[in-house]
Amino acid sequence: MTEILDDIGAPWTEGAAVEDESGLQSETMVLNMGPQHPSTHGVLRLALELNGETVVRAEADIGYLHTGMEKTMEAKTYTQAITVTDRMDYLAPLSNNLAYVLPVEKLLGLEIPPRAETARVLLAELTRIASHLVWLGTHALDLGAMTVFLYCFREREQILRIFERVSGVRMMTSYFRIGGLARPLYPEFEEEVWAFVNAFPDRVDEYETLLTENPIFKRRTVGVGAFTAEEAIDLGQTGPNLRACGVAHDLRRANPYCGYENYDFEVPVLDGGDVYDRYRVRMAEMRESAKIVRQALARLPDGPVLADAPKIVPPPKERLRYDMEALIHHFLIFTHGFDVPKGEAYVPIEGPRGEAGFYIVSDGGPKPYKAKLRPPSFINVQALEKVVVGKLVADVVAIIASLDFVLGEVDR
Amino acid sequence: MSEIQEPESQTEVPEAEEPAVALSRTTVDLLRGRFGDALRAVDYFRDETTVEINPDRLLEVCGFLRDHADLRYNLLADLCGLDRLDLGVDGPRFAVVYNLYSIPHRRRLRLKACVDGDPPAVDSVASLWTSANWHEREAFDLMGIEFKGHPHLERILTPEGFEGHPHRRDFDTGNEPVQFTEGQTYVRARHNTTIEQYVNEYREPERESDDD
Repeated sequence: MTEILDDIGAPWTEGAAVEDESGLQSETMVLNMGPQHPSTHGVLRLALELNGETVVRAEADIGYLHTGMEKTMEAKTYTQAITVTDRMDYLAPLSNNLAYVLPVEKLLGLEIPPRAETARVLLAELTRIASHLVWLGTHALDLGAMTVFLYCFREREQILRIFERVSGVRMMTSYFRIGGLARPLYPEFEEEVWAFVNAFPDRVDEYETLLTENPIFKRRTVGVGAFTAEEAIDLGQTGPNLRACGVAHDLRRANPYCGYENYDFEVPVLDGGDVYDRYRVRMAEMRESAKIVRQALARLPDGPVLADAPKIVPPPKERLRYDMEALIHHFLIFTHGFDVPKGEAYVPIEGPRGEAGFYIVSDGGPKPYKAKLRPPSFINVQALEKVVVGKLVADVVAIIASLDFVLGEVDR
Repeated sequence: MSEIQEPESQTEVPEAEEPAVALSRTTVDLLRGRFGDALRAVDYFRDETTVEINPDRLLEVCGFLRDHADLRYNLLADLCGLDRLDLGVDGPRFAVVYNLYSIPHRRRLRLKACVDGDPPAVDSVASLWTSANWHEREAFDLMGIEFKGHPHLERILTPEGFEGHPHRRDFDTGNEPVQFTEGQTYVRARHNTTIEQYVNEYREPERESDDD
């Protein structure tokens, strides 16, 4: 057993003598969980040292999906690199697209047309709902509630269908471009999103009838895996995990981007800090996101979806036939790319899992000199190591699910 | 958590970039007053503030930023290594970039510690923010920066036995063999191989023509 755990690094004290409160001698045991375990939500391997049923120590082993995505981005032009971003957090592709295009636009000093900006907010909130739905479905599934999973994936499929019609792809959307959106929204877009958000609050009620007052669910979640606000901040927690322990920190409020200051929404905050409160915060967030989507739909202005910046935004194809300058720009953008002024920028956004943002360093050329994601999932897995200590091994699965991470983003 | 304001009072946000910069100026003024020449450069870009400090005083500066009542940078949002080899700047080759955020004051600060050496080394801030642990392991793994006093400085993302630091600018990309079999070590990544050398090495032997 110890050999299996060797590559995790630190020395393991298997068979270490421990003494319980009644003075009985016993030994700890090391349990390997993953990497192929359905409840680790990806390829995460956990080594747990157990004293009876209590976790004495936990160590996470990550990197199984590491493919050097940030390094790959350095070899692509600024536009090409967008496709890498949604492969990191594949449950929130549009959020990651947004986290990447905003700092690049900041370096370029681009003004985004209002229609594109509102559509970005709308789609980012739909992404949050879709991501929370996967989280909710798998979280409930881990605790043995199959029905919720089916309900959640029903609604998620509707959102993915909208994404597919918007961008052409269900998951790897790459729909946001530097300067706006890849292509205009399709004609029935507003109608379909209205149909979805009108029905959605009732759907959330349905999930809540299945779980919120369910005694089995509550026995598995209330008071489990709790941490305090100070511990959460020390562990770098942001997003719903932090708001579930009483800190009203939401970047959409604290440092608004994309015009979030003009939307009317609540920031759900609870102070239990346990698995149950993290569940309730995310449920409330889905309702708030639906509210933002409604407002964005109501005010979605007409107009272009791409900025007026001929050297950065490719011209419409038909203009190439008669406009010499458009042809030159088209050629340059697709062969060389566009040069981004020297400097560095970081625009954090409130992703479904917490603060996400790309730290972009530009050397003045057409490719990012460095693109580093602030990965909320990575930080949540790190917190997991600390949170499970002292908890029962049966609760580890519930805690894993409640922290919400995507292994694609952990390993990048 | 009395410092954290209620969401209702948070609706008043700075509208333009001016207040944000003004807020950051307080940070910079306080830092300057306390540490003086340990600050090597201060840079404002739109609403972002970057402070480059003397790496020898990193722990002092970070502790001050975290604990001072008017600063309270309690969240270490991110930490990464930066290889400035091709960036065309003077000074040391590597930089460690700290992304600090103050939840009570809603301010962000980018702190830079530029280091040279083989391996480049700075003090670990894991004693100040627990979340620094994995970030520093990642920077060590991908960029080869050593963090003095880190509790468990091991590779984190690359596989066991991997050699080199892939996010360095001179790390040779393109010829790293993918390995799935056990028991063999990874082939060392070769540096400074030109594309021509690479292509020649992997070119298929020319086939005999079918015509004759």
